Amino acid sequence: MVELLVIAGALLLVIFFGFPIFVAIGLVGLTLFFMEGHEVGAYAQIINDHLNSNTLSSIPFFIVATAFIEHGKAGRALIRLADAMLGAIRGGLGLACIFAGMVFSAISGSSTATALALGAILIPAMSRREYPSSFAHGVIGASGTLGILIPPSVALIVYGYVASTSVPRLFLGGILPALLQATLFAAWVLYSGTRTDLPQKKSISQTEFLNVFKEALPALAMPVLVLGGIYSGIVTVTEAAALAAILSMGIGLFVYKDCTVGEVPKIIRKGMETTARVMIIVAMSFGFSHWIISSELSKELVEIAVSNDIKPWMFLLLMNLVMLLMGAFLEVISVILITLPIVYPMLGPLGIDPVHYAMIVIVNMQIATLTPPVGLTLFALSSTSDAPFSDIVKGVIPYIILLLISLIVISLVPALSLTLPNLVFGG
Amino acid sequence: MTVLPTLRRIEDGLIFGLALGGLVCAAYAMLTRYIAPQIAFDWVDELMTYCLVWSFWLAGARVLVEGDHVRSDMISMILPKRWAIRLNRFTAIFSAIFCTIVAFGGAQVVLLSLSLKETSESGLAMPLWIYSFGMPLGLSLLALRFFCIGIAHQSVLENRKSVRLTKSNDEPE
Repeated sequence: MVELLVIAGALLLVIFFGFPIFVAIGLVGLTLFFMEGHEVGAYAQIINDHLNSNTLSSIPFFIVATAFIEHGKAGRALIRLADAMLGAIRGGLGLACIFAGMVFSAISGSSTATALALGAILIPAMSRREYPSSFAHGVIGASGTLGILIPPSVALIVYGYVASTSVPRLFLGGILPALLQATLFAAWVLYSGTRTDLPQKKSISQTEFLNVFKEALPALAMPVLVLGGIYSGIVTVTEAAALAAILSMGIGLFVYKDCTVGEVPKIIRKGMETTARVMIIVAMSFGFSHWIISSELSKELVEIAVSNDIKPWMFLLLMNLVMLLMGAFLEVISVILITLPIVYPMLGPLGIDPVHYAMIVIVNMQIATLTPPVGLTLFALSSTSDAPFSDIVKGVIPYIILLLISLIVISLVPALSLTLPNLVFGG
Repeated sequence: MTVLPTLRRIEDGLIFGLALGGLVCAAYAMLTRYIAPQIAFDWVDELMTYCLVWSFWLAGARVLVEGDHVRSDMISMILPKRWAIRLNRFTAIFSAIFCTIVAFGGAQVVLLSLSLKETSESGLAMPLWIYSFGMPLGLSLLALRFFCIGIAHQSVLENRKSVRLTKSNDEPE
């Protein structure tokens, strides 16, 4: 236990001093390796071995797909469709944002990318319709967080790899919690829209609606094809990711014609740079995880939990507090990579399903992306608008409370995370 | 950073080319499985992973030119500007040393793989040192760039996008 506290303290100290997170994690991992008498070559070998993974290969493809969608008009078409469907309701553009956020999340796999794509289009649109700035930023930020819960999610792929859990099971596990959250967000939008008398748009004609629908159809088809491909067993997760990248490139080049062949290298390169920001943290954490596994630290923790008769709810409560605290200072992938190797061996003895725990982790991370000082979605929103940062923070507060409510429900009701995976793959 | 423009062009080409190669491999595997199994190869998935891993290591070094790796800069935000810049330079040099050490470890893996004449188990029988070489190469380039940041003049640092005191907006979770 003392070892764990010293390591955690050292890691946080290095991170707070402003070292890139991959260096901080790598430095601690390498030091532990040296202390055990291993050579640096062994550390490098572990990184090389783990990176040679078909599952992890899906991450760059999903991120490249997001880069193409972000670059083009697909996001705009989705929002136009959502607005056509829901704009006539008071605060309808807020509802449209949640709907478009869900569809975009089913393509992107990242909350920051989702918030950026929504914000770039919806902040000016909501401003034109005289929605209060804090309302606009709040609903966009909250809808953005769905990006890591709705499949495909890069965070869930990393979780699946580290915890040796089926990624398709994890993807399915996120659907009902995401629907619960979207319902909570929509209820709040309707309530605050009515209370503050937000403007509503006139209904559009059927012909207009059909035109808008036709425009959005290619973007809507993408998640259907990609996720349908995985669950019908036609493609693996990695192939589905490649399919997403190919489809998003094809839609951009030939359907929406919003990118040229000459722009393709730049977009792919941008996607790979974003991938590198994530994957280098993942790579360096392998040495750290290896030490945790070989040190039998987790075994000691399991013994402590069993001898003290720790109940699953106590463990989940403790982990929620730890992750909320860590999430305030670290980004999503780092929190997963630091905590999961320690905690994962405890899940079995405590009777907690890894898919259920994954959803709890992800909801904590959704909250983390909305909370200062390291809320990435907050930074993404602030980069797309001129609104004061305080407006953005004020806007997301109700949604943080809603996410906390959903966290309690998801923690206490495992069926919410497990029903769909058990239905499709068996219990 | 405009110190090594030729290196930048080569890197750009390789990052794109290798990622595209990975994408082509994945598409080939999907198509041949259903349309033409007679021309499917058992090594296509393996080649895809190698291409992507190489592309990622090279892109990891390029990130320092286009922005920065994810970091928390809470301490440098509360420090006076002069001290914040010194801290950034210190972390850059220390990061460079770390990358150099791990790159050295990666080079040991490459040499070992060469001496053992290791090849992959698929029909491709690709020498594994080629796959392993991506890591020392990428980390050496990263170390070089961290060193450049660490020892560069203060004004150069102030102009660089990478020293901004917020995290990258491109970061996916």
